[in-house]
Amino acid sequence: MSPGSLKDRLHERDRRVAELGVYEERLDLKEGDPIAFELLYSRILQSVTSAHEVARLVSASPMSRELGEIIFGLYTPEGDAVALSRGLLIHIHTMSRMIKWMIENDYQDDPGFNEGDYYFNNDPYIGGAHCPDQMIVTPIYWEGELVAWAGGLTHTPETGGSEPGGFIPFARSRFDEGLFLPCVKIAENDRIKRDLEILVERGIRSPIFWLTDNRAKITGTQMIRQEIKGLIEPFGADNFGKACREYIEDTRRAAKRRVRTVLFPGRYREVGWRGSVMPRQETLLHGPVELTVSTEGRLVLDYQGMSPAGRHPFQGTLPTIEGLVMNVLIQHLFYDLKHNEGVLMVVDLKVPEGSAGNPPSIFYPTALWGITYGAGLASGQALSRAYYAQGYREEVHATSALSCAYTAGGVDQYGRPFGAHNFEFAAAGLFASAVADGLDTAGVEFNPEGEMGDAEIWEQVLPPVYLGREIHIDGGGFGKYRGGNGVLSLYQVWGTDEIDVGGFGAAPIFSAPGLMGGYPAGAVYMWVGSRTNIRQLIEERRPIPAGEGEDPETPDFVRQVAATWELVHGHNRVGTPARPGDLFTAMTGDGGGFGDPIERDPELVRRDLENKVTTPWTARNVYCIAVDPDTLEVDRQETERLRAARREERMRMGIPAQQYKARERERVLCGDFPPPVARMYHAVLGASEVFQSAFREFWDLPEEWRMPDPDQLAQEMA
Amino acid sequence: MPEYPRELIADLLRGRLSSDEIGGLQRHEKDASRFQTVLAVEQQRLGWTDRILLCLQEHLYVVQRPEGSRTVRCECGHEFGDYRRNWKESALVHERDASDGLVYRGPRRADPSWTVLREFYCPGCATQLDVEVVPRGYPFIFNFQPDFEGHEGRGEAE
Amino acid sequence: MSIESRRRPELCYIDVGGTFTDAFIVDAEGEYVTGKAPSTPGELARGFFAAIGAAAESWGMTVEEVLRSLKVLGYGSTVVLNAILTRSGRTPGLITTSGFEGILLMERGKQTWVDLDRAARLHPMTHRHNSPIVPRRLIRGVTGRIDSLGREVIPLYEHDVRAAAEELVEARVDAIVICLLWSFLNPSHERRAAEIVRDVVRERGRQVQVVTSVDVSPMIRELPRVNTAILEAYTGDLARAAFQDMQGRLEERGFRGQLQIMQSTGGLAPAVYVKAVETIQSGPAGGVIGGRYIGEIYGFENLITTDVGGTSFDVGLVSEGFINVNREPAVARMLLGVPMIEILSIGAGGGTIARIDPLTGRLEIGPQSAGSEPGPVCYGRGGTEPTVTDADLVLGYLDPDYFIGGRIVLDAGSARRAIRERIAEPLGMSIEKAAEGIRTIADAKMRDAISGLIATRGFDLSDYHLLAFGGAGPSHVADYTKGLSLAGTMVFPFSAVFSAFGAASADYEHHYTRAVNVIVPPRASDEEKLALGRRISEAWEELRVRGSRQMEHEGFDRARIQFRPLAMIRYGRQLNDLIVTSPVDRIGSPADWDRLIEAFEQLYTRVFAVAAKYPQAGYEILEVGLAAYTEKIRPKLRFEAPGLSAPPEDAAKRLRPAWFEGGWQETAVYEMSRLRPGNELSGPILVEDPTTTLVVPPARRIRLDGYRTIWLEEER
Repeated sequence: MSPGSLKDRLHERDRRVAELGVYEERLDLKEGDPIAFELLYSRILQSVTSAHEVARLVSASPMSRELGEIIFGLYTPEGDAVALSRGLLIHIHTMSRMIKWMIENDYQDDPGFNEGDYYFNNDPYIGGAHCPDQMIVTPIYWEGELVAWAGGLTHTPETGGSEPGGFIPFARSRFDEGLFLPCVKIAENDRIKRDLEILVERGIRSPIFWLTDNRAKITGTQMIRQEIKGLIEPFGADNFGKACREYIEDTRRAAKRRVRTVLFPGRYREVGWRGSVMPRQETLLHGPVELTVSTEGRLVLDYQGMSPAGRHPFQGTLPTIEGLVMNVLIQHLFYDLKHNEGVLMVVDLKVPEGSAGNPPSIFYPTALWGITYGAGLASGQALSRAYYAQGYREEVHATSALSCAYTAGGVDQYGRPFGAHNFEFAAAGLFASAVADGLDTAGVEFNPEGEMGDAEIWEQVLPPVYLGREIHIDGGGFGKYRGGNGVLSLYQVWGTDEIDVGGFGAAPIFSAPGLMGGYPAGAVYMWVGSRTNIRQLIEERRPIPAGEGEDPETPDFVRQVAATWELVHGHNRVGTPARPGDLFTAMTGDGGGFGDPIERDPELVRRDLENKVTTPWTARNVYCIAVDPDTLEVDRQETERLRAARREERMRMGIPAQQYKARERERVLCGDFPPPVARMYHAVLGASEVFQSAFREFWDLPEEWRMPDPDQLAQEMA
Repeated sequence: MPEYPRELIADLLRGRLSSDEIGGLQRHEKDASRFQTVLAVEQQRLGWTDRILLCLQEHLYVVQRPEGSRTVRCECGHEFGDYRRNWKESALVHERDASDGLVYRGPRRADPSWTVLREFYCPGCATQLDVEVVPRGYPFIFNFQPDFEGHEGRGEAE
Repeated sequence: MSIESRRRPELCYIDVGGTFTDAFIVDAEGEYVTGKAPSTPGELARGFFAAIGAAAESWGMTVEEVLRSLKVLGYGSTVVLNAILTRSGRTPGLITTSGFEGILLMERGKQTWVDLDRAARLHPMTHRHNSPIVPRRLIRGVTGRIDSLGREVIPLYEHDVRAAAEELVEARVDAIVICLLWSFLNPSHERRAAEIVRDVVRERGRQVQVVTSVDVSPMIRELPRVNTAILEAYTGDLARAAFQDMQGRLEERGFRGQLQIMQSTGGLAPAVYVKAVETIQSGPAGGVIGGRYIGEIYGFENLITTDVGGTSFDVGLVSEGFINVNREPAVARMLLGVPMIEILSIGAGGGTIARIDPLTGRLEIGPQSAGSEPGPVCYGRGGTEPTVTDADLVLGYLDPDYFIGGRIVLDAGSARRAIRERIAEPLGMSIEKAAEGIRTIADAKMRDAISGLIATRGFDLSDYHLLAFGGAGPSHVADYTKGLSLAGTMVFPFSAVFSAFGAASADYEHHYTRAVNVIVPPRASDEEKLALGRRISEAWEELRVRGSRQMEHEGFDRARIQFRPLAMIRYGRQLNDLIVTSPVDRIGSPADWDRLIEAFEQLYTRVFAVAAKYPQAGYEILEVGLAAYTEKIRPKLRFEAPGLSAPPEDAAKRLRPAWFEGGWQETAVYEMSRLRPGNELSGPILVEDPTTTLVVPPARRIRLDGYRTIWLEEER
C-alpha cells in the first residue's frame, strides 16, 4: 500500500488518473482468477445491500422505511466509491466528495480519524443536493491502517428551515434552509454524542426523523464495517485494496465499451427549463445541455449557457448536477454494471462557474435543485436520441416528471411539534418511450424504485386527511405514446388547529418536455380552499369531492365546495396557517409524451377511457379519435376524417420557418419579452459568450444589439 | 452478443411487440447488429433507391443522394436539405400559446409569459415532428448532428 | 397376520412437488414410513393414492387400510397460488373509500418493480404495471373517513354504499370486497357497509360473497390489505371446492379423519376453516417446520434450512425456536398483508443455466433455469445450455447410471460438449476448470443468500445449525457452507422427503392479531404502565377467547390448547415494529410492563445495534397478537447407540474418478442407506442414495450420529 498521509494518497490518486486516464493499469487479480474476483465483489455488494435492507427498518421517516430513500456504499481510503446499494443512486458520488473534502481539509490530523468515529454531513456544497440530504461515513481500519470507508445517506423530511418540510420554496439564502452540520463528528467509539442530539432535538421541528435516520445509518455502516473486515481477513488488506481499485477500473472499461456499442456518435442538444418565482423577480431559468458522444466512448456534457446563480432556491450545487447526470446514465445506460467511481470516469461535465448549477459561493440556497434538475432530465433526452440513432428504440424515452408536493408544519394530531413533506411524488408519472406509454404513478428520476407509500402511513406522519388520491387525469404529455400520469391528491386539514400548509414545485411552465413530436406535460399547480362549507355538506350528506374530476376548467371540489379558492400556478406556496376544514390539492408531476398524438392507436385511448385516466374531450380534440363515451366503441372512419382534418389545419396554421423567423426577429430586436423571459435573456446573454454568439447568429442581429435589462428599464420608467 | 431476427426488430419499429417482448429486449444485452438491421428493415419498407444512412428521429432519415449529398428526408418523401443544417429551418412552424385551450385545459396551461410551444410540421405530410418548449424568441434547438465518420471508424463489433 | 399390519397409522402428510409426490405416514407410536410417486397435476388425488400406496407397502398395508386408520391427512395445497399465477379466479367487485378507486392501477408504484433483480430495478424502462384483478369498472368509492387515531372524520354515506352494491350486483360479480381506510383500527364503517351490501344481495336474491378487509388482513397499509381481501374473494371458493373434492375422494376409499391444509405461517388447519390467502405459501413451508422440529429434538434454537431443488435454492430461518415470518410478502407482484414463513428463494438449483455475459465477459449463473423440461443438457431432452447439474456430472460427482435411482440415464458426453463450447473455450480454460467455476459461482450465490439472510436480520451465523436437504442439497452443501462459521452442518438420510417429514411434524396452529394503538410516553409513570398494560391484557384475553372458541370448534380438547402472547413494539414514531413474544401472559403490574419492554429492547439490540436504541422517544404498540396451538403425534427419529467408526463392508461401492482440488482423484463411493450410527469417513468421498448424492471434498469429514443424521465437519 502506498505510504504517506491520506492527503498524499489522494493527490497521488488524482495525478495517476489525470496522467493515465485509467484508474488501475493492470487487472492482475481479475485476470489471475476471474471467478474469485467476481465472488469478492458479490460479497462486497451484499454487505452494502444488507445494510440498506436493515437500516431502513430503524428509521421513523417514511422516506427511509417505506420509500427506500436511503443508500449505502463502500469507498477506497481516498474516497472513491467501490460498491453501492440500491436506493438513491443520485448520490453515487456524494459521500466520495464528503470523504475527499475531509481529507483535503486535514481532518486526519484534527479532529482525526479513528475506528468507531462517525462523521455527519448535510452541506450540499461539500456533498449532497440540499439540506435534507444527510450522510454519515465511518472509517474501516485493519491492523491500524485505514483501509476503506463505509457510508450511508438518507433524505430527511425536515431540516428546521424558515418553512417546514426541508423544501423551502422561498429561501433567499442558504441560511433559510435549516440546520447545516458540515462534516461534524457525531459519534465516537460507536456511541452517539448526546449533546449533538440535543442540538437537533431543539433545532428542528421533527427531530425524530433526523435522529432515527442517524441511527439507521450508523446501524448500516457498522454492518458494512463488520462484513468488510471479515472479507479482508483471508485476503489481506493489500489484496483487498488492489481488488477495490480493479473493480473501479473494470467498471470504467465496461462503461466505455457500453458507450461505444449502443450510442451513435455525434452532438446532441436539448434544453431544460425551470423558473424562479421570487416575488417581483420572476425569472425563467435556462438549462441547456450539449451532449457529445465521442468515437472512443466518452460522454461530454456541456451546460454552457446555464442561467447564473441567484437569490432563490431553484438552483443546485455542482454535486447535484453531477449526481443527476450519473443517475440518468445509471438508469438508462449503465444499469447492469458495478456501480462505482468507474462510471464517472467516462464522463466529462462542464458546468460554468457562477451558474445556477455551480454557484459562486455557499451563500446561494439550493433547496429545490431547480434548473439543475431540468438540465439533468434534458441530458436524458439527449441520450435517448443517441439510442434512437443506433436503433435501440426500446431505450428511447421522453422526460420524466418534475416533482412537487405539499409541506406542512405545526402541531400534529398527537399534540407533538412536527414538520414534514408528503413524498408521494417518488411515484410520479414516468416518461413515454418510443414503444410504449409512460407508466402512471410509477417513478421519479432520482430514485428508480418508485414508491408513493400508503395513504395510511402518510396520515400517521402528517395530520391532513386524504379526501382522494387519484391518477392525474390527462396529466402526461400527449403523444403517439403518452407520458405517465402522476398523482393528484385532495386533502382536508384535520386534527390540529396549529398547522401551516405550503407547497413546492416550479414556475408555471410546461413541466416535462416531450420527444419527437410528443407534447410536454402541462404546468403543475395547487388548489387551496379556505373557509369551506365542508361541515355543512357533511351534515346534509351532500357530495364530498374526491378530486379534480373530468373538467380541469372547473374541478369537482371547486364546484361542490363553497370556499375562498386560491390557485397556485407552479405549485410553490409559502407555508401559511390553515384551519380545520380547509381543503388543498397536491400533485406529483407527469411524464412527457412521444411522437405525433394523431398517430396514437385508438385502442390505447379506449383503454385509458375505461380506466378513467383520460377524457372524451381529449380523445376527440387532441387524439382526433371518435369514440362513443358510453360504449367506448371507436368509429374508425370518423377518426380518419378527424385526423385528415387536423393535418389540413396544421397546413393552414403552420408558417414556413424562415417567415416565422423574420416575424420573431422584430420581437427580438426590440427586446419585447415578458419580464421572466427578458430577465433570463439578459442574464444568460450577459454571462455566456457562446450562447450570445449563437443567439446573434440565429437571429442575424447587428453587432450593437444588446438585450436591455428589464428591471433597469422599469426603474427608468418610474 | 445475441442476434435478433429481422422480423422481431421490424415489429419493434412498427410498435407491434408485446410488453413482454419489449421487456426481453430491454433486459438482455444489446445486439451489436441492431444498427444495420434497422437500416435494412427501413430501406425495404420505404423502398427508396437512395441509401438510408441513419434514422434521425421519428419519420426523418438521412439518405445518401446520387450526387453525393446527405440530406434529411421525411417518410413522406419531403426533402429538408443537408443534414448539417437544422431540418427545422425548412419545416412549418406553429407557435402555440397554450391558453388557446385547444390542447391543455385549466391550470395545466403554462403561462405564455414564461414558455410557449413551438410545433414543427412536415410541409409534405403535416406530421408533427417536434414540439419545442421554449420562451418566445428562443433559437430553434438543433437536436442532433450525427458524426458519420466517427461511426464508420468505430466499427460495430465493439 | 404380520406385526406390520397391526400398526395404527394416525397421520399422513403429502408433499406435492413439481416432479414427485411424497407421502410421509406416522403411526400412533411415532414410527414412520415414506413413499414417492410421480406427481399427477390436474388430478392430485391419483398421486396421493400412489404415494400412500408406496409408503403403505413397507408396512404391508393397503391404501384403504391406511386411510381407514388415519386421524389426519394433511397436505400443502397449491390451488390458491396457482389460481393467482394463472389468473383463473372468480370475479370480485370492490367497494373502497371515495377517491381511492384508482388504487389497483396505481399499485403504489412499487408493484411495477417489486419482483425484479438489481439491474432491472435500476433500469426503469423494464418496469411494468400489472393488470389488476378487479378492473376499474368494478370498483366503486363510498364517502366516509376514519382518521389515524380511529376517529370519524366523515360519517359513512350509506346511500353511497347501497348504490355501489346495487351496481356491482347488477354487473354480476361473484363477490364484493370492502376495504376502507383505517378499517383495521376502527372497523365500524367497513362492517356497516358489509351489512348494507348483504341486504342488497339478499333483496336481489343473488349468491354474492362479501369479504371485509379487516377480517382477512387487519393490518395498517391499505394496498396490501385490499390486495389480500381481493385474493380471498378471488380464490376462496376455488379453495373450498378443491378441499371438499379431495375430502370426498379420500372418503370414497375409507378415509374418516380430518383433511388439513398447511398454512403459509407453518401450522396445519382443518380444510373447512382455513382462509384461502393463508395457504398461498402452503407448499414450501414444510422444510422450515421440519427444521424447527429437528431443532427441538437436538435442542438447537437457531437453524437455517436449505433446500436445493431443480430450479431454486430456498433458505428458511428458525431463530430462538421461532420460525421467521415475513409480514410484508409480495406474491405475483402483489404486496400482501398476510404473514408467511420467510423463505428466501434464489434462482440457483440443479437446472440453473450458466452463460457468459458478452459485454463484461463474466461467467454468470442463472437466474434462468432449464427446469425439468428440457432440463440440463445431460438429460438428453433437448437442453443446449450448460447447467449446474451438467457441471456436477462432468466433475464426476453424479453417477450417470444412478441418477434418481437410475430412472434418468445421464449423457456425460453432451454435458462436456456444452460446457466446452459455451464456457471453457470463451474463457480459455479447461472443461473441468469451467465446470468447477460454474459450481463455485452457484455455490457462492447460495452461500451469499445464507449469510445475507442472516446479516439482514443482524443475526450471527455461529449461533446457527444448517440443515441441507432437497435432491441437490447434499451435492453442494460442502461448498455453500464453506467459510461460513456455522455451529454445525447436518444432512439427513431422508433428504429428498424432508419437507413432508417437516410438515408431518407441524402443530395445529392459528395466529390472531388485533390493533390496540398504545402510545407510551418516555419515562412512563406506573399509573400509565398499568393503564396501558390493561388495554394490552384485555386485547390478549379477547384473542384467547377467539382462539379457544375456534380450536374447540375444530375439535380440539380445550385443556390441550396452548397460547403464545405477542406484542408488535417499536420506539415512538418508528414505522417498523418487532414481534416480541411476551414473557408474561398478562400485564398486572408495572414490573410486568418493564419485562415486556425489556424483551423488546433485547431483541432490538440484537437485530440492529446498541447505538440504534432510542428510549428517549418512548414506545408504540399498535398491534398485539396471539398464537394458539396444540401439539399432536409427531414422527419419531429412531435412536440407536453409535457403534464402530468404520462403515460396514457392504456400504462401500466402487471407486470413481471425481474432480477435487484441481485434479482427478479416484474417489471412494458409499451407499448412504448402509452407513450406521457412529460411522466416520474422511473426504474426498461420495455418499450415494437413489435420490441424492452427498459430496464430501478433501479436508471435510462426515460422522453419523444415533439418529443417522450425517454431520459434515472440517477435518481435524
